[in-house]
Amino acid sequence: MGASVRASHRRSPVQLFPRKSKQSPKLIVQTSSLAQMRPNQASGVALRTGGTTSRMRTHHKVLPQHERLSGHNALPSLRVGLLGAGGIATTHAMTVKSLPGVELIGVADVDGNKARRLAERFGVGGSYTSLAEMIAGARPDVVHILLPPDMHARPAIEAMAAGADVFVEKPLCVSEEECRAVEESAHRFGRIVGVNHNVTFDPTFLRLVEVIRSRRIGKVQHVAVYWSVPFGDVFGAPLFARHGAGAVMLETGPHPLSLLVRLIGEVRTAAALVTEELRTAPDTWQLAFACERGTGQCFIGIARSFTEIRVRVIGEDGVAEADLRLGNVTLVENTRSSPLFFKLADTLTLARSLASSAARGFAERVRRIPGGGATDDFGPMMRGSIGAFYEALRAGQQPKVSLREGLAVTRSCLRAIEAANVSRTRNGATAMATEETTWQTQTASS
Amino acid sequence: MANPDCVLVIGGSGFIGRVLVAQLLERGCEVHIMSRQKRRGDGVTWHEGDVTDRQSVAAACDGVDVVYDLSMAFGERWDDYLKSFVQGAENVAAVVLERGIRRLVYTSTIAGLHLARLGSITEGDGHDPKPELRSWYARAKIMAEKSLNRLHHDRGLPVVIFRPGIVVGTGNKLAHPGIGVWTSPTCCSVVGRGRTPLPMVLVEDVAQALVLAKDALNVDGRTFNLAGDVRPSAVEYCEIASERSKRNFRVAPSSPLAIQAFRTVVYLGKLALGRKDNVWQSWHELKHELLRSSLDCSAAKELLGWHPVADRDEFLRRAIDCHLRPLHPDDLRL
Repeated sequence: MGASVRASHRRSPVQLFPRKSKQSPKLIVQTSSLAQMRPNQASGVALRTGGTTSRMRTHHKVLPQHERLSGHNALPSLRVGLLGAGGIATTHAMTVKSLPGVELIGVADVDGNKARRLAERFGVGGSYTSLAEMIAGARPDVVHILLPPDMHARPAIEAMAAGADVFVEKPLCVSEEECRAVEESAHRFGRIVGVNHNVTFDPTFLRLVEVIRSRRIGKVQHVAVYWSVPFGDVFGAPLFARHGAGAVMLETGPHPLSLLVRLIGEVRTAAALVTEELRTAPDTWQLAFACERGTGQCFIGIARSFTEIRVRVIGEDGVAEADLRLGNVTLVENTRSSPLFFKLADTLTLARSLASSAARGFAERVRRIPGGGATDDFGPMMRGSIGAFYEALRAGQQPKVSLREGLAVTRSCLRAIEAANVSRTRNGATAMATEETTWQTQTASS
Repeated sequence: MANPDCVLVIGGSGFIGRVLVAQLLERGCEVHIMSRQKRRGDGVTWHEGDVTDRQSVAAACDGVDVVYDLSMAFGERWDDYLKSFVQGAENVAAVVLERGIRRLVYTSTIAGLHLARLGSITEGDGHDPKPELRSWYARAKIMAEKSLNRLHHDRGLPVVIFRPGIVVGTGNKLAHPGIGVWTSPTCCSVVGRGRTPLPMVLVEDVAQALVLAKDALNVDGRTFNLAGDVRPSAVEYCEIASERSKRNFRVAPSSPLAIQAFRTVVYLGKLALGRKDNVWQSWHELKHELLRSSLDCSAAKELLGWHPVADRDEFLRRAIDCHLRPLHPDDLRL
């Protein structure tokens, strides 16, 4: 079944902002065979009926999931299968292998050789060419969906229908229809959905969140995210062929928008200005948002030579900023000094907080030298993200990046794409005359 | 009420005035309001006027039984204070005497006291004996009180004077200027450590005392201090405000000596430059800002039957919660 899911995405001519077809195909997932195969799992019950789960058979009564997962040492390891053996799968495999109480038991990919190589590298017994095969053969408790963005929803639903929880690479899905289908399936099958918004686990961003939690800047009113990065070049990828310029938002957008959504909630209204700055493709997105709890801005520049990742938060009582590249968090609060001194005093305070933040970051890197990876920023984020998911799963709680947040980020990305689409279609001839360089600002409301 | 009182509230559009007017209307009074700018209000008669203009006061006092003088003004020179507070109070008193009005209720301020010494201060302790060392505002209020008391003594002016403490509640703001100097919306600079209980009083309780004074017997010529029974310090106030608003309210304590040294340097600097906006702020004034004395309000309770809110939660709800905005359930601060 997994193979058929992938085959359903037909390549189409390049469209920068493809318009929605009036009758988009319904997202239908054939789940009956899987449900028949594992009736108890399909209904959200933990009792295992076969396969290699001998340790699970020691349960003599049917337990609801939150009980099944409680007690770190009392219960057997969670069995994890990876769907997709591409680049990111290696990091998932490494992270899963490093987590306590979690066991990597299978890798599936339409390219059987890739699946086998990854499985062998990490000493995993099972490699498969489809999700259905992996579910039948390995019976995972959790499936990581590591396919291209527009191939997440269907296998996620399949896995949930088969009784597995899912951990999905960002973005959770790529359309409103998929959002609703995933949400409905999660409720219907009673499964947990986590999304890998790994940058929300960046230690610097977490420190920024702590500053906000400490109430030092009061209510968050506005968030600006700068995401100017060397990576994210999707212009030659199948995703670009299928989704046009929207591929930028689907591939790279979830990173900055996951930060923004965490701080001020889902985007309700968006305005976009998309331009071709360094490439002959829309590589630069300037976005303005009205969100649930404030306003936001986002700059996305991909395939740049210099990295600038920064989150600036304006609160009612101060400003906090996280420089994710340099690893600093700075804070400027309502002053306690008189008008004569406050500029000097507050600048000195800012300088001190910057120096102290840099020193703390350096000390943390030095501390990591013995274990290796002292300069690795990506690994800790992934370990934080995946680790938090399994921690929540074991505690019977919703993951930090929950289905709700995953949906909010996806919908926010879709509104940004829609804003860019609207600008192009509404401006007609004027826009067409300048479309080589600019699509003008318009809005798209929820 | 067979013959409802007709009352004039001068300054009825202000912070205390609005609450007072509401309570008077609840009691069935016919309410007239005099303010510098004419406005509209349901159930009240509005008069445009100024206490510095005796004619406008007289015009507003037609048929009035009781006059409340809550007038407030600030200025840039001592003459402005003299005119607004002292001459203004005398103008109102003169009209009250002329018209034979039953009672004049005048609101002064605890700034007229000297709250530097430890211990309790009652109405009998009188106002600050050294008004010449106080701020223009305090000095003007002291002079106005003196003038009204003299008129009561000499000509039988039926005046009752109130000295409300730090009045809090709806209509004011969380960063209340009576607590200290707010260098920013959440940081309050105070003289001393900010641990002294502050003479706070709810605006509704002040209005209640003023209403009670309208009909109280044998209180002409009396002065009443008004502070509630719940008296948080500046530090406690900021801690409670922080907890309830989820903002970072904080106190910046300052040594009185350091403040006075700084003020002296500024004063000398301005003197050397020949600046005209140079006002000497005395050590005597600074000591008052420590607010170390405990304000005794038993006279108002005994003679007027005044009962300010004594329940701490109720007080905080009315003093602080009224300024808060609801938080979004997903707010990261929750």
